[in-house]
Amino acid sequence: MNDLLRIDGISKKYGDKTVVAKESFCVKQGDILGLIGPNGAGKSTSINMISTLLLPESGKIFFHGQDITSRQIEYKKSLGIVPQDLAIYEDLSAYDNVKFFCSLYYIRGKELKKKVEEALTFVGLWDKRKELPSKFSGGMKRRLNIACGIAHGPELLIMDEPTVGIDPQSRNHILQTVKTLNSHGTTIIYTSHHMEEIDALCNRILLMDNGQILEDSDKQSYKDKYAKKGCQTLEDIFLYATGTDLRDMEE
Amino acid sequence: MKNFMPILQLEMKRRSKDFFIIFYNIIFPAIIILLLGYLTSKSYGTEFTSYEYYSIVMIPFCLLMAIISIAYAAQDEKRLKTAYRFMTAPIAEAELVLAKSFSCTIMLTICSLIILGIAKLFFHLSFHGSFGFVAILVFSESIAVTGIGLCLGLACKNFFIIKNFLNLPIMIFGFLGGVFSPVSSLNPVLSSIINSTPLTWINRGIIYSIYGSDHTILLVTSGMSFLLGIAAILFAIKFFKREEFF
Amino acid sequence: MGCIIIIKNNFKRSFHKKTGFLMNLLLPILVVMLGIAANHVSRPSFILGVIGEDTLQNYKNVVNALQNTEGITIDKANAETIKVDTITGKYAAIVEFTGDEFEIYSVKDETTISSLDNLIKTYIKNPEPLEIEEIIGTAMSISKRTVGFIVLFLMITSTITASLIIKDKNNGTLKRYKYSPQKAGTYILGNFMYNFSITYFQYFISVSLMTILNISIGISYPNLLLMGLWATALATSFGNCIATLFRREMYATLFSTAAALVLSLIGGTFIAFEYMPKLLQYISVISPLRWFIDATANMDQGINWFSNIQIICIISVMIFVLLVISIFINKKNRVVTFSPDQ
Repeated sequence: MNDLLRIDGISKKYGDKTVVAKESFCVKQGDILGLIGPNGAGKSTSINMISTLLLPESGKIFFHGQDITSRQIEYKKSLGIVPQDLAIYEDLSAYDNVKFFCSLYYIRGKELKKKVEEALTFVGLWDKRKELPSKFSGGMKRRLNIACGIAHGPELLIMDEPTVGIDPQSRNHILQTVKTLNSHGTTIIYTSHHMEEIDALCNRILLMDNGQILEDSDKQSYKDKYAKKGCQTLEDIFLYATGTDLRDMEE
Repeated sequence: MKNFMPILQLEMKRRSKDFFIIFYNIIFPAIIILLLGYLTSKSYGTEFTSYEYYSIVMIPFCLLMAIISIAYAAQDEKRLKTAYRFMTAPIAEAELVLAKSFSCTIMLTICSLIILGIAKLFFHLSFHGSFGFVAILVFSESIAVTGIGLCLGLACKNFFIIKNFLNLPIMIFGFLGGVFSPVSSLNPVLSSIINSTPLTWINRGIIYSIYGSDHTILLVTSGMSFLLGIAAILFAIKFFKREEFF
Repeated sequence: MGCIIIIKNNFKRSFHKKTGFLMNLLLPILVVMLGIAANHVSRPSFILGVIGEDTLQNYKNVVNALQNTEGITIDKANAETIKVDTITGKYAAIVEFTGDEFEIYSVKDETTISSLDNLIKTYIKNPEPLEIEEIIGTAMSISKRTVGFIVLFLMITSTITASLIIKDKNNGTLKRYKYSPQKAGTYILGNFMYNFSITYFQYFISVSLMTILNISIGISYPNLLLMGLWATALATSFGNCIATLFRREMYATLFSTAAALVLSLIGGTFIAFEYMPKLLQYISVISPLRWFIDATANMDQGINWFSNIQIICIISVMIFVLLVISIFINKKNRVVTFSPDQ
């Protein structure tokens, strides 16, 4: 498989604190990469640099072998984000929410309508398309949040903890959605604190801590390596590799 | 009322740390007094300067403008997403409203007294022995402003619409009350409109008290402001809307 | 095209709460009308208080002459409240006649008191009414004050309309917008155009109502509508700029009120430019209201709006600068705050 995304030595500091320290990794086309790490590991900062919200202090990011800074608009057209915090308009219907965000990716007319319908059907909200999100349950809002991020058909999709605070049925639906998207050719970077989700979805694992990459390998190799050390589940591996101490917030 | 003191302490801390509120109630009035005083300095003599005039009229006006910030302060918990904790704790609505009333009134009174001090020091406003009376009026107006603001923030259903336009009618009251330039008319209709503005009476009360040694208007206005404030606070307690707070 | 998407989206968002939208749309019109009315009410006038015995010949002659003097209104004053009446502005000055003498009480400047003194002395000798422009002082024309008020109010109300930008910042949708290939400028321009259409509608209704109700301010209706385009564009760019600066609606509203008030003061809304201290006359060039009031002075004489080319250019530059600042701030705004990863 080709490298869809190549991160080459990116770093970021806030004041004296190094949040991301010269990390390099690749995301191959068709991967579901599980980006995991404790609080403060640098996951969100890495995602923000990949999504161009933050400029890295050093290093470069390449998409299809080309530096994204020189073709940001083209890159963004191929990128989809499902943020951790809900980012939807409570005062627009589900349909209008998806339509608006999809239209920002230069999609118009019949194609726009088609993509909106596909996205809403995909997440199981087509029947609720005329309703306002203020009337939705938490799970429905999360699904709408996903629909807004995938409607334009991105090549690379970043999902930042998409299943926070929802019931098992909705979570199961979302996980199925992720698998289906991937089977249709979308490459996914998936972050979560639920190791069972990572285990169920991802074929590759990237473990970060203190701004550095601890592990970057396919899931089976990752498991095999730590099985010798007595770790049976991904959660065991996580706690073994990063420790069990609490990660208090720094001022 | 066991929870009153902890909530009051929290509210006092919050008010004193809000730099914008302090800016708006101390620095902004001082700037406007300076600006208006300087702008109109040529139109006044030396016995009574423009700076003295605008010191007198600007303080009640800026106090009135504080209705907006009080109304927002009433919804702090909603904004900070801590309202749920307040609603599920054994806190009476009265405790919450009273704590906010006390903290806002104290803050507004202190800010206004500071402005009066600045006016005396830098703009040479002389109180002719009536400082105490003016302080009473300032305190009463603070209570009224607090009461109205809390009513709007906690007991008013359409606050999200009203909050946007609060400052415009207050500005109109200001124009009519002589805040930007002295206003009067012999026309009975226009005169009634001018006299219907609370700021007209407040400003008159202060001027009569300082320069005429007649405290009647000031004391009546203070009394009415005080009663209005108390009534508004009681209204806010009685008609406290959980959905606005939460 | 991106701007059109933003405009359509903002209208859809506003329409969903129809009552709220209508109130937001119509309430400012009411307030602007009240402001115009208040302006008419609060225009400075020279009301002279007189105290004296009706039997005094001087008193009768002078009062008669003053009553017939254009620009002066006479009223019987109360001898016990002379000082407070002059300070509150109930009377611009009080003249007390005792025998052949008179005394003037006023807080006005020496020049005005001296002019009044000379006038009364003249009237004592010869009670023929005279022209007394120098006494009236700093009064501005109705049209200038009204235009100043309207622009002031528009600046405040358009910040309210621009609060959608603040909502977007807080609910995460601006962040989502920034993920897309759309430019920061498109977002600002889209919001600007949405705000412009709402604010101009409010302006148009206010001005039309003024015309229907025959509240004349000395400027023709077409001129008002044309000037309104620039006034609205300025108010809208100002409102958008304020909204991009703050994360809380309260701060944006209060700051816009304060800034608009200061700009209107230094722009000459309350005191005629010619009567302002020299230093403030120089500073007033930064205030857009100064230029609108200057244009109004020209339009008062029947000149049409487009003859004020220099003023139109200056205001247009101000609008452009405010828009650029908004775009720059929007671009630089951190939508992600550093916090430990979840």
